[in-house]
Amino acid sequence: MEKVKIDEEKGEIEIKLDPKLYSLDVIYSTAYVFLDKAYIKLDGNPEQEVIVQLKTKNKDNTEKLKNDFYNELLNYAFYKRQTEKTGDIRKIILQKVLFTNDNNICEECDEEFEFDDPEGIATPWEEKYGKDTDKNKS
Amino acid sequence: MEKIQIKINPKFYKKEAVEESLKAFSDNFDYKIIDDSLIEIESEDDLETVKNEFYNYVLALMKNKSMV
Repeated sequence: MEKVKIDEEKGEIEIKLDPKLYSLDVIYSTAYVFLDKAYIKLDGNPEQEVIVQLKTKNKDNTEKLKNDFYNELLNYAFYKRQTEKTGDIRKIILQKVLFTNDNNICEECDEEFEFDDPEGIATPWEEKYGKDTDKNKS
Repeated sequence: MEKIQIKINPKFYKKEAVEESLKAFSDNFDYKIIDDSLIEIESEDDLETVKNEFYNYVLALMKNKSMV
């Protein structure tokens, strides 16, 4: 089955994509990038086959448009994959940043980030010197 | 004025975005919603261009409103 149809005269391209290879999110993201260069129509079935119809706005090179579209698809597919891969670690870092002073909220984070602190740098000031240190001095 | 039918696949285009886009384009064309996936438009402008602009507008609107 032919996956790409190009009509040079009309400046139209029809690309059939397998949603198992390129998820709908990836296809949407790619389509948005091309909104200023081409007219885009989405059709087909999101579970089986997505049909992307591109029509150049300025009679640009259709072959180049097609290749650029595929490159952008790959770009977003990779980005999505990386985002999913690093999702957990980003979540943990964010939790650590947001709840760094409240250990009860994020016990899981502390388990993940246990580290040696021989100089006691991580010990809060109040814990180390007491709350009314300044008052006691004066 | 000429007429043309626009086929909108509801699996890809959100209904709210299509409705809002139709309102936005109401100065450019008269429209009649035939069913969930078919709209008839009537305009003095070049219908093919209007149709293509409409598709892009709906997609852009979905992006701006984070519908997808």
